[in-house]
Amino acid sequence: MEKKIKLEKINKALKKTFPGSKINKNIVNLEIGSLKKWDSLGNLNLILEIEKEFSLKFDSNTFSKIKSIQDILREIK
Amino acid sequence: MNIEIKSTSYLIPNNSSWGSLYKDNKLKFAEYNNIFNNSKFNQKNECEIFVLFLKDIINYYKVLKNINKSEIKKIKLIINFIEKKTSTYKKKNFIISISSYYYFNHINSSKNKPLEKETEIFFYKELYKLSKIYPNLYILNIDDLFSFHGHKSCFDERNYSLFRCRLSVFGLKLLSDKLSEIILRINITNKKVLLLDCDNTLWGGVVGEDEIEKIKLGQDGIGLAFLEFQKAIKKLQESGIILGLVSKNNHNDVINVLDKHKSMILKKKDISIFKINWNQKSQNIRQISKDLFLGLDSFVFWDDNPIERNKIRNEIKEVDVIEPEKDVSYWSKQLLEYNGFSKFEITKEDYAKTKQYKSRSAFIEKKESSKSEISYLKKIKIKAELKNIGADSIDRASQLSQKTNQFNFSTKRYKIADIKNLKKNHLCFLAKLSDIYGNHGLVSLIILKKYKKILYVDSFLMSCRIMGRYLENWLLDQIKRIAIKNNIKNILFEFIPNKKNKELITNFIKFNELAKIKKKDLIKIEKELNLNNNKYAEYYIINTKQKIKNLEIYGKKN
Repeated sequence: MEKKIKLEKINKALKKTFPGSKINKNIVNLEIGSLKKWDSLGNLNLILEIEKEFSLKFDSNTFSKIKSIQDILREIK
Repeated sequence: MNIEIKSTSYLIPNNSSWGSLYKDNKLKFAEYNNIFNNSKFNQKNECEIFVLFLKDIINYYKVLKNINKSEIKKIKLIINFIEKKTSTYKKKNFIISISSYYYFNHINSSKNKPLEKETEIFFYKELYKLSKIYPNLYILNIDDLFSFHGHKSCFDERNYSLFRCRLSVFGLKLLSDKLSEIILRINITNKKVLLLDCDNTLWGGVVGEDEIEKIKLGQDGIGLAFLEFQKAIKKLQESGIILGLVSKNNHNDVINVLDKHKSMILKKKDISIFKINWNQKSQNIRQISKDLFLGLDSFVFWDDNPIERNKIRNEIKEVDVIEPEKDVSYWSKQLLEYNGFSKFEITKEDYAKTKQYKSRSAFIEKKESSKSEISYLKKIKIKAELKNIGADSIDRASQLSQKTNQFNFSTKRYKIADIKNLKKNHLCFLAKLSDIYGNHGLVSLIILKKYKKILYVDSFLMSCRIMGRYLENWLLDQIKRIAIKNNIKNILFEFIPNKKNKELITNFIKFNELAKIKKKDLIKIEKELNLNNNKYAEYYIINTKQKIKNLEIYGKKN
């Protein structure tokens, strides 16, 4: 999948998970803590939303490693 | 509504799957797995939802041959806890949703019932006992709900090992959707009437053009699909849903099919309302609503014709217009899965509804078509009788008080115990009515209190299904007679208007020329008068010398 399409989808998931938060145009460097609501519960909800958006399922190992947009980009093939 | 959700597992608060519950409610999630302590009751919560996973409660690794006593004890403790909560907080609703999902092994369970199954059966048996006793307790079987969509897509072991959530996001969403539907039904009553088209809805083909043997019904293929659809309709009718035919046909053509077609499941006796004419369907529906005292929002409309559906959608927004599946084979399933008619309990009265509304619409039809209303009413042999409330009728008295909305002056709701109490210092009556349309039973409740100069009408209410017979005037005359007998000159009515009772009561007041009176002037007449402080209450008075109209219907002189 092209990186541009991936980022678009990730952006959509971010907006859905953190509806009240202001999100920069460039999301590549965002990580847990970058947004006020992106705490550990927020992280959980974000990854579940990413799974829905990309129709995939991370295994337990991968799931627990994801903490940033970079991690997500790396794990989505 | 303020809702608190408590669970034995983590349920991922704020996840978008909870959207349907968040939409109309304020949700609060308790810390998971800390739910059976008697924590302080939050007055704000109107509803508490428990989501219980038996896997979190019962230690299935320990139990080998039988459920051991300590596990049964755990379940009993939970049942006791639920009973204590529901009985203490009667105004609050409790929804217990349980999953006893286990890994099914067909070989291991070929000879013996799995222990998990046994535990589940025990749990449900105890819970349903409670739900019969406590009206504020509801049960949702999560496993049955999920079996429809597949356990595999609803449960998620990965989510459990990562963050102690037994469910997948899809499972969470389903749970949220179904819980919000239960909550909605607690607050809004179900639909009451199914209005059906005839041609290409109850059978295939058009009756006017085809001979009745030629319509498609009962034979294999599409005919069988229509037959199954009729069976589904019949099932609803038996659970108390009123059926009406609203179709553009010649009346006799349709009646002919109902009477003579051998495959018809629906018979004439099953249908309460017939509006088979060439009028606009919306006009017919509005007329039914008016005649039967049923709100437009209690109607569901099923018609194969998209033009008719769109007309109703545009003209009467309150009516629920069903968009039927393209293939008639799926109609029966679609109708039975439709939630609008679902209700928590089917009562004795539900079984009698078809007959009741049938006799009401027959009465209205004849009355409208006769030239003189009064001479028609004189002909139908109406007989009314006033009765004291006894042990055999106190149930009905309370039921009338709880359920009557439209012809109800004060809408005071009395339980059986309240009426027993009132009887000590009030005059309490029920009225019975019968005519050629049947024995209508006890249809009115009147509660009076005698003062020196005033006969105070505490409650005056009448069931809507017998409206149009001027029974209210006969009752007014009876009240007048009681006043005269007790040497009282004035009868005082207390009217507490609301959306539902305003129209009928106002009409009654105008028709019988009741005089409005201010509260302070009342006290001048009767010092001891003890009225409650409802700021919306209006007071009306009638003198015993006043003539009451239309009594000749009841064989009395004015």
